[in-house]
Amino acid sequence: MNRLLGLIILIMSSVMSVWSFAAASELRVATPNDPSIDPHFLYVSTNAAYARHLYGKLVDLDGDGNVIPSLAVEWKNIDENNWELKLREGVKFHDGSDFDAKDVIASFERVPNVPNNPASYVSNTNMIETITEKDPHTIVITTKMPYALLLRRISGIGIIPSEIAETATTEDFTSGKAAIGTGPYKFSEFVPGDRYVIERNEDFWGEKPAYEKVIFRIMPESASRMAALLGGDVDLLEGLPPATVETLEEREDFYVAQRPSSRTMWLFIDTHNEVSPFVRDNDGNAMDTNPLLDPKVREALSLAINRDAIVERVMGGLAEPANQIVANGWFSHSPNIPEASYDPERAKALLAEAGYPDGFQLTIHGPNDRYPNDEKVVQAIAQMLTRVGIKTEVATMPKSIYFGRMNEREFSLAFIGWDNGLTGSSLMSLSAAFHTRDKDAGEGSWNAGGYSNPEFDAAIEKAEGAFDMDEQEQALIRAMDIMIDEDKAAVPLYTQFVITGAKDTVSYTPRVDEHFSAMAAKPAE
Amino acid sequence: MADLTAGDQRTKVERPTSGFRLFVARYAERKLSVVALVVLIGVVLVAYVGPFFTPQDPFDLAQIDILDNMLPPGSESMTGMTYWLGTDDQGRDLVSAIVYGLRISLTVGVLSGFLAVIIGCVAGITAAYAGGWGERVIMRTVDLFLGFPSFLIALICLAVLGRGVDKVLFALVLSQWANFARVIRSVAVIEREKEYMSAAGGLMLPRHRIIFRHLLPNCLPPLIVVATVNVAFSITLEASLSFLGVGLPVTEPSLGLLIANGYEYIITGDYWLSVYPGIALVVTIGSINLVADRLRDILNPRNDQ
Amino acid sequence: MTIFLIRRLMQSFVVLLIMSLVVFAGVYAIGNPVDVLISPEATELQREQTIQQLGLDRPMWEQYLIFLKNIAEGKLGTSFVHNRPAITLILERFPATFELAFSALVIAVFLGIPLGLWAGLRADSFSGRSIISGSIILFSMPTFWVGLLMIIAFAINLNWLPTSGRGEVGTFLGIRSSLFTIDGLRHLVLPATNLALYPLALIIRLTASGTSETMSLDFMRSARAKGLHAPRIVFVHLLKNILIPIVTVIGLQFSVILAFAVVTESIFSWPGMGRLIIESINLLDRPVIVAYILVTILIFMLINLLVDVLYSFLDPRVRLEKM
Repeated sequence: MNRLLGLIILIMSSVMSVWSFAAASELRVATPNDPSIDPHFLYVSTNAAYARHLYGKLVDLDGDGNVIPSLAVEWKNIDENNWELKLREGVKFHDGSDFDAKDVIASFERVPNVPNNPASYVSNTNMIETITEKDPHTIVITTKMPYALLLRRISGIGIIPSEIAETATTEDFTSGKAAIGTGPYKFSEFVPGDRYVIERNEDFWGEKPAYEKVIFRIMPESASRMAALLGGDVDLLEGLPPATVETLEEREDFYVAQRPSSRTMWLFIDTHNEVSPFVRDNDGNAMDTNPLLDPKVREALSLAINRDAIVERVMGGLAEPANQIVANGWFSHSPNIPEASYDPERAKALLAEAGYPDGFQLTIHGPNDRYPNDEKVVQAIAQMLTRVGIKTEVATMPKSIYFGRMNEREFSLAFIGWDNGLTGSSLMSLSAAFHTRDKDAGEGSWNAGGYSNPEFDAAIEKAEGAFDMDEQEQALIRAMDIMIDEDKAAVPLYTQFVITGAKDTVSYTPRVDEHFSAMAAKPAE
Repeated sequence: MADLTAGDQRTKVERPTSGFRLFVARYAERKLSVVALVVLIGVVLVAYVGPFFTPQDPFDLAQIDILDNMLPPGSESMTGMTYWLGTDDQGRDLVSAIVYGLRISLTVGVLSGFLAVIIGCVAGITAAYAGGWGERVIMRTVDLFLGFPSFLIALICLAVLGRGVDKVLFALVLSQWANFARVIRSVAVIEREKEYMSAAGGLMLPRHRIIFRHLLPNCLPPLIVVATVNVAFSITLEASLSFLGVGLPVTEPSLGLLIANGYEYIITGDYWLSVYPGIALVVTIGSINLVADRLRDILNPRNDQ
Repeated sequence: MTIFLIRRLMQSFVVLLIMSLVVFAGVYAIGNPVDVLISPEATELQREQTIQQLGLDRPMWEQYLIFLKNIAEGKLGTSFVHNRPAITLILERFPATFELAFSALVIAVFLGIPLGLWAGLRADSFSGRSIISGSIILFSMPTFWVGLLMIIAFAINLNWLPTSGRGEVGTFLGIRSSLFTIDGLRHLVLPATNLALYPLALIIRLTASGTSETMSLDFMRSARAKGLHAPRIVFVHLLKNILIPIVTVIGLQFSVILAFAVVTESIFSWPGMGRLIIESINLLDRPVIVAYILVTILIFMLINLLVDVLYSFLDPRVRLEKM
């Protein structure tokens, strides 16, 4: 027992002393995510972030989410369906071969044909009818319909040499054999579940990154990552738990790099089922009606939630309250929607008006391994709903089970966050998560609340077909107003921050889309 | 848990030769064991009487307030109550949370032990008396389960079933019943031989009488030892499983889950979230193990001198 | 001997078959990995294509038959997440887990037996009792909690050792292991010690109780009466007598260590099989889960078999044919 107490005293009273052993040209990063080295395999945002290091794209998004030239230097619309792109000349792949139009075409052709791919990048290419080579450094992309956001969509596709694109398997990439791109870094070593090492591409066409070598240490446990940072084993920490931010900032040798991200969190409400699966009366029995179908009840849910308390007490101040599902300052953010207010008395009154003066019982669902503090936010929301009379239970589960069940509309109230970075607007979230589900048109594939309003659907379809950006924005704002302000079909919560912990020897600027990028790091002056 | 008791299960099992008073006297011979027993009784009282006196019901969301979260020990709440051990990340009073958590941990441990004993008894006795083919099937199954660490069985089980008290119970029972089945069967086989002998002597006793009068009393000493150790192990197991994210649901934290929840804060200096529940857990398991250890010494016939 | 081995192997095969069915049914009954892995903006059509591609739309029994056929061909399926053969993923990580478990066992045995002997021989002394009580307290500390305390104390505060991960790998006699480099050993110390605590406590207890029992046996008394010196008694007669149960338990403990490595690997970010299985469970990477379980079962059966064989060498009274 003495030894144990000794240790505890040690923890409490210790002054941390950390030395850096790493050479200045080496960057060591603790990350929770295993990479896919194959740029066309498993489309999740962490893999898209890894891919940026090895592989060039036609165009890229900069740290603020703007489209910038990359392997394509300029582009123009021949008409609404045809885009002509000029390719950068003199670019070499890591294996020394030259980059030209054939590589682009082969890479795009590979995207839908990677075998056993559970999450294909094809959603970024399926609006493309053909890509034709005009000359070795000019291509024409023909879309199936007018598609204003084409450049943003193809910013997700990594370009690899045509001979590799035609033959290589995912395994070839993982072993490093086929991991050839034009990016600022070259593949060096990958030990799955342990480390991923890349080295600077000295022949890179653009601005060379500051570090010669980057070592990603793969650590799923947030406490382990934190320990590694404090113990001096790594320089940067991806996915810092908000609760640890304060402690880190108090330390002399560390700081926290942060900025609002493009991910907004909200609650799906079951506006679909006649009897909602997780709504019960006050005795715990199933109800024969679904109170969530009443907009008054849905408004009460929103009024019951103290967003400032969530931001301050759970997210450590590293989030901004949201009143709609795209963050303030972004394209298509609606100015017509009032700030989300916290008014528990009004919430109770609305519940009474709706015929539930004593409230009812509810279960809120959320993932426990997807977003920073997801489980804690869901619990805090349950507290707040319970206080206005909606006795709320919490059920959280791993993302692997959660999202599937959510999308089958098995929940009554479900927590989700959506990254609006790729389209830079509410277009993707509104069309996927709130348009009436329509398999053939590819709409509403994530409409987990079952929301359906023809007027809203029309606005979304108008936005999708609009080639003029002003017209598109107006249609999206109209859609958001209908869904949030008139129908209260979802409860917007907050826009989270992307938080990176860093040693003060490294200067790091996070990207708005939460992608980690070694190119955004340099030695501090 | 086969492991801790493996050494003793190979020994021949006999009834203690002493009465209850002698038993108490022998137990009291070692001071540490007496202290452990007193601590254990204290822990049980805290777990089952304590909830009536705690300032808060940590499972009632209406009673906890996120605005009071992460307060260090000794802080006052907004309503003037003192959080003697601080609050957790949801604003739960840690004193209340530990008391309630202790109750869950103990209940899960004892209940799973109890269920495992019953299943083990049925399987063991059936095996011993069925003989032949039936015995082979049962004992092969028992061997199969004993061939794998209980932690692994429970982990796989929960990976498939998901979280929840009932599921944790199921996983713990599934991973431990085989221990008991083996102990019971070894005693039952001896009894069976005796029964044949008495049957040859013309004394035919009804089977249920043999089971309840002779078999079960004979099984009791080794059962008590194995069961006590198992309770401690179940609590550890449940804590580890909760830590890995496959144990109990977050809103009704057991001690293991409280520690797991505080795990990321311990590193940043907010030690109380994890350290106090940890101490409660170590004290509980430690006292159970110390008591079990003394029981083993007394009930093991070879140590009778 | 040969007959015994063949019979045991056949039994193992049947068990593997049964387990594969149970495990397959259990794992494939939960969730749908497509929902996890598919990008949120994919269309319904893409979802369906993916399901078809992965064969998840076939009836359960058909999926199982495909699975069995693949096992027979040495293929345990392809990871949904990594798009690589599940068996490769597991075997790739096995050396890391093995070296961690092996080191833990070595620590437990080389500390545990001497401490246990001491505690057994001096059962009534203060030191003896302290060792026993200490071992009970070791039992009572959750591995993950101790692991974290160790990281905070030795890696962060004292900064003696790295906080986590596996170090540099060296090659010696054709074996690649982090045991052969200084960096590797530095990384190994904390996790191996953490994993060793539980078996250490167990071995101390077993050795101690075995020792005190043996010392009270008649032949030991007579040996002492004959005037044999104490060290000789201890090391020849005593060890011979207590070794059998200890070897058995060490064998069984190796399985337990392998299982508990899941926890230690999670805390110390050790790139072994245990972490792989936790990640795979979270991602519902079913081929990997099933393959992990089958491989683990196979490993454990081999260990049990080895223990039986070793047992027969140590104790000639045990005849293998009868086991």
